[in-house]
Amino acid sequence: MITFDHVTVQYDDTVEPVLTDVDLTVEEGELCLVVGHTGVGKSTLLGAVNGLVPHFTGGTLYGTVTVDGRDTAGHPPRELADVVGVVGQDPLDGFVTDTVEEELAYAMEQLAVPPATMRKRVEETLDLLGLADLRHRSLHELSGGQQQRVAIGSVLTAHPRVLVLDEPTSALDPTAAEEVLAAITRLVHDLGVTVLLAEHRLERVVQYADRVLHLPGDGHVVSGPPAEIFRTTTIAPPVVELGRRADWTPLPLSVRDARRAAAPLRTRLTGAPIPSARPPVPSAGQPRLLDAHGVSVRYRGQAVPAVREADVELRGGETTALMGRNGSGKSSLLWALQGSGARTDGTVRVVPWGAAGAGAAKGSRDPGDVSATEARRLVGLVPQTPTDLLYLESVRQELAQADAESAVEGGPPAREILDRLAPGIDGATHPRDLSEGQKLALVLAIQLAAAPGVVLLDEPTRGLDYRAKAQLTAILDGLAAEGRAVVVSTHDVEFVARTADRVVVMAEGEIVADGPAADVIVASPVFAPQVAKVLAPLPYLTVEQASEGLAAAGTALGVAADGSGGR
Amino acid sequence: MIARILRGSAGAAGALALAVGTLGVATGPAAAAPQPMGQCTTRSGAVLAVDFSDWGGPIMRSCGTTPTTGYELLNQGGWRTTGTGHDGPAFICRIGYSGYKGGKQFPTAGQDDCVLTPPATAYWSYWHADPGANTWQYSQLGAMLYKPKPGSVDLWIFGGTNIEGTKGRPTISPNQLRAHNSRPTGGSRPRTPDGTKTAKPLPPGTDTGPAPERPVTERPAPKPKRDKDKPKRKPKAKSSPSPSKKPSASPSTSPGTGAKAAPRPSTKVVDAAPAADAAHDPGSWAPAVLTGALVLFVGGAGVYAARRRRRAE
Amino acid sequence: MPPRTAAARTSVGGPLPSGALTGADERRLPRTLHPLAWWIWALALATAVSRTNNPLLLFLVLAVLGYVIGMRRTEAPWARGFKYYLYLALSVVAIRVVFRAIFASGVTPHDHFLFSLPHIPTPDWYAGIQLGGPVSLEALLSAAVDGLRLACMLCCVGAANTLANPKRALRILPGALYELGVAVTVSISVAPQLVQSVQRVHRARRLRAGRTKGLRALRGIVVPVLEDALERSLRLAAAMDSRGYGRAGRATKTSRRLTGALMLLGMCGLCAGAYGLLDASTPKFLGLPALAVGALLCVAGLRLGGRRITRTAYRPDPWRFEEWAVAACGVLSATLLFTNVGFDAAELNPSIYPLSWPTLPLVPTAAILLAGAAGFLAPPPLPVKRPEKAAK
Repeated sequence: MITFDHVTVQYDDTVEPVLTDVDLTVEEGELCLVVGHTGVGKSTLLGAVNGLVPHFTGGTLYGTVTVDGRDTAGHPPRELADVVGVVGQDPLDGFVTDTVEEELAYAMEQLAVPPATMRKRVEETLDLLGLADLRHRSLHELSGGQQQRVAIGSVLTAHPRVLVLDEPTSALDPTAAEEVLAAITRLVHDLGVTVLLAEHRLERVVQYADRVLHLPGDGHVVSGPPAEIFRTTTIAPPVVELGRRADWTPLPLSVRDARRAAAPLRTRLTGAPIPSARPPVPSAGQPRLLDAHGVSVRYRGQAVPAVREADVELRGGETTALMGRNGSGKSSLLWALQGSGARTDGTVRVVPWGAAGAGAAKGSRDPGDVSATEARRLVGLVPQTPTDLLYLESVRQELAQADAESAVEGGPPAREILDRLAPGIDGATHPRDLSEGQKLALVLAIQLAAAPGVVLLDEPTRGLDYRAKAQLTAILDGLAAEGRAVVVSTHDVEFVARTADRVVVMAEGEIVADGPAADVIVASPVFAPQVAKVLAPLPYLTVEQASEGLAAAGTALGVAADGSGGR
Repeated sequence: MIARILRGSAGAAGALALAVGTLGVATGPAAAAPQPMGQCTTRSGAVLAVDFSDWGGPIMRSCGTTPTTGYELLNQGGWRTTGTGHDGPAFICRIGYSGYKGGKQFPTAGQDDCVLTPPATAYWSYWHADPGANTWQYSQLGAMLYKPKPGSVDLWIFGGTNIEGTKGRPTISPNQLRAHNSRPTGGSRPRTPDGTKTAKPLPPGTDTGPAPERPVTERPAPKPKRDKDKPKRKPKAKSSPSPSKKPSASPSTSPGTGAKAAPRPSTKVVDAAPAADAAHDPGSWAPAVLTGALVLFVGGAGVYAARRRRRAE
Repeated sequence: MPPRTAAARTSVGGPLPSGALTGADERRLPRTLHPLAWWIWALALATAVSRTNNPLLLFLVLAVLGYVIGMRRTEAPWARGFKYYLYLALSVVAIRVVFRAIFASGVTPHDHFLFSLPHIPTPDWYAGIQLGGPVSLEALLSAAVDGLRLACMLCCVGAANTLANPKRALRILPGALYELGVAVTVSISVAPQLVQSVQRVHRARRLRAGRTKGLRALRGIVVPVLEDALERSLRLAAAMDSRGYGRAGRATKTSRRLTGALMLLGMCGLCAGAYGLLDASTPKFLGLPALAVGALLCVAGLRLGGRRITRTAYRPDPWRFEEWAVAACGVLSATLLFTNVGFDAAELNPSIYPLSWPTLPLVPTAAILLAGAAGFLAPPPLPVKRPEKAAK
């Protein structure tokens, strides 16, 4: 179906080619997972399939890419639209019309499909993706999952033989992501569409993959069956990692398989003392940095309040994860706590960092009442789109501006903070050219220049790969170790399992759960990380924790599994 | 309203004096009075000539006292004009004289609706000839702003002009139109016929130029003669009288006047004596009431339909 | 629009909103009228309006517009804009009146003097324009009527936008102008995103304690918003390209050149024709003949250019009897007003100098009421399900 024959892609602004001498074949009807860190050329590989690379992006492609017998050199993307359907990260970016039905018909209109056929295909696609009730709705009114399903439907109506999806769930919450992935697997199984899928959250898709294309980062592509490839990849979902450490064969790819393989492991761990998933927090001695009571947020013209009477208490040295589906009021709560967002009701008291100690409560202030400069010294917030804060031409200028804005005596300059968070960023780089993780680090450094005691991050894990997430965890652990209170709103349960000491779950603007991470997420079917699912009812959250647990029990994980693995 | 109080006042000059006296405004409102043609001389009064030849009519001319404005000259003694909806009354779109075709104004509504500014190819162009001069000047000012000098001639011709002023010039010469007598002849002033609307004092603040320099001659106004053998018109037009092809409906004609080397020899010059304004009928309010009812009915039906639909949805 | 699904129908709250429709409408199948029919109707009515300055007729036109909108408007978001056209119309009248009062157009001795504004003398070389001075009832009335005419024409366009879905209307553009339609559609849908982007960045400014007002803050807001918009538009372009936008049709290089030449010549012809029609001093052949030839060339160019793009329309609007009827109503009404048959042209433009009551000539009145027949000739519109407010 798809053939890459000695393909090398070289962009004009880089020295090294992005892809070097790639040779691969994807058979008809395969679900092919593209795996690799950010910036190793996944998007280039996917773009080359329908000719966006190099027709749209520029650069030079050596070798030949053939899709369904058509050479992309002679066929620009528009001429391949009937063969390859492409779905991007943010569905809103690709919408051309404004209602569901018209969006579904758009590609067919371009392909000059007869009206009668078009009508039939739209109805079929509506049913296939469960969109029939939404047919007349405006695209902007839909939820993220619905939007992404419409985006998939809108390329499906053209009946392509190949579907290319570039991180289709990275902008979605877990429920919506599940919805979209379910739709994709159904397409593979029912329609026999060849699917090329790049995805960060491997834990959700790895079990469905027929073939994995791994990009190690040197420009080459390794192709093979998942169980084989994941033995050696640098990135892998927790369930695979657990299997790798336990040396299970065949390597389990789903929670189901792993759970069956893990029975002896569970027995061995039962009764052993459970190590903490997180470095211990000396919470008893830590001061309360933020105290919020009855915080309500209600926007003008909306009957339902975004946040309803939320009580939040943040202690220094503690990392809190704020979870909940999209629209449950997480952002509104964070903005209200920072003081820049609307707050209809309630009180927020923040103790200035450093002033903690005896009688600190007296010096506490409400960030909503003080000036913006004051407020950011109390609470620093990194918004959902960090680039909203960046407007200068270089990293150096941004950092200098941050120092000028914050004006904290004796504090470390922003450059120093950035080097600690993410070393090696060139000061002359344009902020927009940084990777997502680097942008996040830059904005975080800018906010930390004001030395706030409370740091809030609104969905920082969007678009980050495993490595970047691990780095973020390290950064946040560092901040907590300095005695700051950190809050992260996120959908990523695996990230929460590694990063958070405490989890707060919100629904419809109310706080429905608040407690230690292990207590809140292990019990939840939605929020439980994979390791917890595999080892349930034992309250293990991460692979490291399980390793440690076994070490404490006296056996290495690998040895324990050796006997049970049937080698 | 002063204007309303003074409406119907007989003597324009008297009214002027009265108005000036009562108002005491610095720039006294000037009011011109219509005069029979004989009252205009080489040094006093302004001659107004309007060319109706586009509608088969003559060139009509009449006389007005100075100071005045081109507009006032054109709106007294039976003359009336219409402006455009877009530019207001100052832009002369139609001219009518009560003594010509019953005061019908030209061009007719069918020819130009006088809503927007008329095209440069068919409009009333305005020409002046200073005392003694025998050349026409295209007016650089609008009728409301231009103030004719004593002894000058104002001419309105219908047609088109170009920007350079080379096309559409009058074919008749100023000398064929202007008064040549050095002293007033004939009746000095017409006895104002009942209902004649002479120019009324303008509201305060109207810029009408300097106050009158000389008192207006007040003389008993004999009835203007309406027969053909009019009293001596002193310097008769040098041109040979051109026989009129179409007898004009004008109240007074001057057979001895005509175009000299006019390309349109048929165009006669006819003296238009001050006459009563064409009767103005303000019309009935009934159509307006009827329309109001119709609008209420039709609009109401729409609102009703919309309400019912909204309630149902 | 499609027949409603059962689910959608129950959500409307009844078998069908038949209670809303008058007797005859209940038996008719609701459907959307072809947008072109509404546009022809509205533009014809606007043309008819341009013919008259009679306030009675103008008010009648407004009433007729109100009636048709009341009868055939839907509850879709784009159909709720008529009141803004009314506000615009009112301000047009107001501006016209105020300008006439300030830029005095002169007061004649016969006028009804109302009040006087302070007069600002202008230099001689500028004598054509007077500022201030006395204001008469006639001047204000004539300005108001003149403004009302313009307002009526505006409302006609507003009615077309209210009755016909603007996006569907764009789809009837000839193939060669398709790109134009797409550009408009995309910009319409991108505009709200841009507004959101601005709000988001403005809010984020406070996080850095940056200025939120003034010129310096503008940079901090404009730069991220524009960069965001640029990136988004690139992604949109890539998405459209991948979905087949701009596929080459049967056009060859020669035909493309021919299209260009035809369009250029046609446009020249149209310009020359329009000029010739408006300026009577130009030679006769520049008028209607040039216009006709230009139009012909343009149509040929559009047809040829349309072949360049092979595309089909999803659910094309049908053109049936109702469309003919609605369009004919408007065109007939305009024709009647322009023929001058059965009434005096003077009645269309009643005199303000001197003031007189306008008359209500029979034929034009009938013509305007005839345009109102579109209100029941058009099929009843499909009820639109109101979107629930997205709680965010």
